[in-house]
Amino acid sequence: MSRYNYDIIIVGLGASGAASAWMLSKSNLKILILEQGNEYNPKDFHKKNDTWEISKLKEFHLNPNIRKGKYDYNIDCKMSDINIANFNGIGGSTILYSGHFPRFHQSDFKVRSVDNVSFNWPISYNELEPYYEMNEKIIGIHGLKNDPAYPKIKNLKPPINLGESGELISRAFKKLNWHCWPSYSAIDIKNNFSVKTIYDTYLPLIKLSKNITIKKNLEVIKILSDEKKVKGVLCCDQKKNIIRFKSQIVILACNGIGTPRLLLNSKNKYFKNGIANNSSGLVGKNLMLHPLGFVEGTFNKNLYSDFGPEGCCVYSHQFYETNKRNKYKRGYTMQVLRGAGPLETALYLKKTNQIKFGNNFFSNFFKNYNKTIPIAIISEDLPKSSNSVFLDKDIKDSFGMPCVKIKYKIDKNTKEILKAGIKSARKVLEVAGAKKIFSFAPIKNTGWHLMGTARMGNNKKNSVVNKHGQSHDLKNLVIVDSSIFTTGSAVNPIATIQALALKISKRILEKKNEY
Amino acid sequence: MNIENKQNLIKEINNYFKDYKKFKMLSFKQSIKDSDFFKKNYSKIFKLFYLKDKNIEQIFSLNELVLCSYFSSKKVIKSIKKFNNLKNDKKKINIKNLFDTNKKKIYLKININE
Repeated sequence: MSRYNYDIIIVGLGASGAASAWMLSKSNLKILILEQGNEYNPKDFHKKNDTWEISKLKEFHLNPNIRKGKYDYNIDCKMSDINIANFNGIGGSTILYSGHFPRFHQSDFKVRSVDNVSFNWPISYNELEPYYEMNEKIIGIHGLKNDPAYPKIKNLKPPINLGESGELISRAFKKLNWHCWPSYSAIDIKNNFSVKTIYDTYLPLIKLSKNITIKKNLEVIKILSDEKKVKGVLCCDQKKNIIRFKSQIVILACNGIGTPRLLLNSKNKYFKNGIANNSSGLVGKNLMLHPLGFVEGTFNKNLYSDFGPEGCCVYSHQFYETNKRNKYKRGYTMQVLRGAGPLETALYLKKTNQIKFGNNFFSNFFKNYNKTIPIAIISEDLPKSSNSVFLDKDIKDSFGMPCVKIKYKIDKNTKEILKAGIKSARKVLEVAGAKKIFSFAPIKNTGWHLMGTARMGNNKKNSVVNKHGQSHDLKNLVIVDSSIFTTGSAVNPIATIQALALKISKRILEKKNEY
Repeated sequence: MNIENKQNLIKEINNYFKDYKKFKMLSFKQSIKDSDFFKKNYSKIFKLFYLKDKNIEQIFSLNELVLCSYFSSKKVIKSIKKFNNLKNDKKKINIKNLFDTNKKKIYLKININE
C-alpha cells in the first residue's frame, strides 16, 4: 500500500468540489483532488452538436443504470418513485445539467419560522449572498436585473435571446399578470450557445495552481478515522490496487448519493453505522429529489422552439411562496424549456402512437417539431427520514465498492404542489394559444437534484454537519455538496451548491486550526 | 447477411418515410450513408426487422433503432434546419415590453434574527 500526505483532500470534482478547490487554491495548502471518473473533452457533450441527441441516449444518458459507464455505480431505484440521474467524471453532473442558476429565496432558509415545516437552515440568505455573487461572477451568468422574485442581483451579463417561443409564453404570463422572468443562464454565447460546465469555469483556474494535484480514475472507498479525527482516505484504482492518502482535512463533494454512500461504507470500530453518523444517525436519510411535473403545449405555428440554448428560457416564481389558501405548504417554479430536438420529438411521437411510419410520417412530424413549448414544474420537496440512500451489499462497482439502493416516496404535500403547478402551466399555455396540451407527473427519470442526505444544522441530534459543513462528530471532515442542504427549495440547486462550497471553503482558509 | 438482404431491408425501411420529398428531406437510403449509428447497429436492425411475432419491447426497440439511424445523419439535421429557416434564431426580441423591471417584489422578505 502506497502512502502520501496532503493538507487537504477533496473527494469529487464536480460543481461543489471545483468551487471548493478554487477557493482553497488561494492558499499554500497542499491539496489533492480525487475523482473516480474520467476527464472529458467538452466537445463530446456539447448540447448543440449534431450527435448530441444520440450520445444522450447511451454514453451520456442521465441514468447511470442505463449509461453503465466504466466509472458509474448502480443505483437501485426499485423502491423509489423517481430514478436517480447523475454523472460520474470530472465535471460531475454539470456535464448533463441545463445551466440554469437561480438562487434560493430568503424564505427557503427559514421554512420552520415562516411555514412551520421541517427545519430552518443554520445560515441565512444574507450570509450566503456574497458567495452567490462571487460564483455568478466566475461562471458568467446571463440574466435580467431587477427581478421581482429576488433582492437585487448584480454582475449579470445581458439576458439570452428568448426566441419566438419565449416571447409568446412571456406575453401569456403578462396577460395573466403572473411573474415571469428571463432565466439565469450559464450559457457561452460565443461557443454556439453551449452550456457552461466546470470545464469552462473553475477547472482551468484550478489547473493553474501549483499546489493542487488532480488524480482521476481513483475511487475513494473509505474515509479513515479514529474516534475524534479523520486521518485520510483509502482509494482503489481500476486494477484494484489500494492506495492510502493521509491528510489533515477531508472534504467530501460527491453529491447527495455519493457522499452518504462513502460515509456509510466507512464504518469502523468508532463509527459502527458509518462515519460521522454517531450523533444523529441521519447519514443517508432525508433524501430530497425535486419531483418534476411536465406540461407541454403544441401550437399551430412554427415557434422554432428547438433553437437557442438548451435549458430554461423564462421562469415564473408566481407561486413560489406559501399561500394560506392552498392545501399545501411552500410552492413551485414554472420553468419554460426549449422544445425537443428532432430525434427526441420523433421517438416521443412514435412511442406515444402519435405518428406512424408510412405515407404521412413527415407531415405529422412537422406538425409537432418546433411547435411545442414545454413547462417543467419544480416542486418544493420537504425532507422525510424514510426517503433514504443505503448500501446495496449485493452489487459492487468496478472498483469493488458496494453500490446503493434508494427508497423514496413522494409525499402528499408535494403531490398537491405538482397538481397545482400543472394546473397553472396549463392555464399559461391556453392563454398563449396552445391547440393541444398534455401533462403528467412525476417524470420518472429526473432525480437529478440530490439533496439532504447529510443535512446541516445547529443541533447534532438532528443534523450531520454544522453551519460550516463540518461533521458534528469529526471536525476535520467537511462536506460541501448538496447532501448538506437542510431543505430543498423549489429551484435548481447549482447556484446554492457552489455558493455554499465557496463559503465553507473560505472558512477553512480563515480558521484552519478549528478543523 | 449479404448485400441483397441489406438492400431489401433498406428498401422496406424507405417506405417508413414515404413523404420525405414533400418536406425536402432525405430518404432513409440517403440518410444512412453518413449515419454511424446505422453502421454500428445494422445487424440488430436486420434481426429485429425480420423477426416474426415481435413483442412490444422488440417493436419499440426496432422503431428506436430506425429513428436513431435516420436522425443521426448530419445531412438530415442540415435538411431540418434548412426547412425550418434558421434565420429566425437570430430574431431579437424587445424584452423591455415584456418584463417590467419596476414591478413590486414578490418574494417573502425575511426579517428573522440570525
